[in-house]
Amino acid sequence: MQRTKYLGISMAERSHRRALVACVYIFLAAILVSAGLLHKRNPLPGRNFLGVNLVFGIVYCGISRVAFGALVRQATFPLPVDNPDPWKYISIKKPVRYTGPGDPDERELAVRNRAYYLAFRIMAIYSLALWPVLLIMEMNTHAVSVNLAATLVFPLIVMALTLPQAVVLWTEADVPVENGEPAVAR
Amino acid sequence: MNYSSKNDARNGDELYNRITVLRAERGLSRQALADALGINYQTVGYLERGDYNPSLELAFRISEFFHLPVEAIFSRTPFKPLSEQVYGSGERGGTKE
Repeated sequence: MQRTKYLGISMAERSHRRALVACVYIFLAAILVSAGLLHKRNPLPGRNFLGVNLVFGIVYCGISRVAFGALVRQATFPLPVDNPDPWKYISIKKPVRYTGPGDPDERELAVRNRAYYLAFRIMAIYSLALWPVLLIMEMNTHAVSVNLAATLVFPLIVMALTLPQAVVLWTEADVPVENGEPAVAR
Repeated sequence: MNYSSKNDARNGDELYNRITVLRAERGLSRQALADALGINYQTVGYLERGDYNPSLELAFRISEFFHLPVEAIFSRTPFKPLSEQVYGSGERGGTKE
């Protein structure tokens, strides 16, 4: 955890972090449903709707970045900005060695890896569930609109960018905090 | 390098440690110990609470830091209190030559 306090609220307790995750995802789902209802009432042409999706995507990622990114250390996308050599993390020539200042320690790496794995599994299940849904819709309507397909696929992008951090916040046990310890990890 | 879970005791994977006692004896804060070991101070807390089992490499680093053998710091069975070990039952009142 990058911070044990956020906006004056203690984030050391898992229950607080879970509440934050739930609030953010409920808010994001509400935006998506509102967009869907808005589209149903006033259908936009395909390209416009994709543009709207893109704007919502940026809003989603901005919200999740503000809500989760400040809390989760080294599990953010795209790169750890406070590191002197951030490009080494995307090098495909050699394996990344986490030995520099500001690098995550072995526990943080374990947390991150577990979070990404769980996020990947959730995304894989969602992707698999999409197939029959799209098939059934196609059988019923003989054509799946681009807008509908985009709306169903769109959460995948949001998940890819937000789920790992959310998983860390959701699953990490209460942070052991002693008096006098900094609220922001070094 | 594992996270312990509620089933660890049942599975026999739980690792007990004396880091809290050793740190208190030396008057170290978690941050100071973390800086010395090159880890996050929260990790020290998780180690002390038994929520995280260290890798072999980290376990050796901890033992080197405290100048104690690994088995004096980590054990698969619960440690007896130090007072009980030092003044064990029936041996109080002097040491045997």
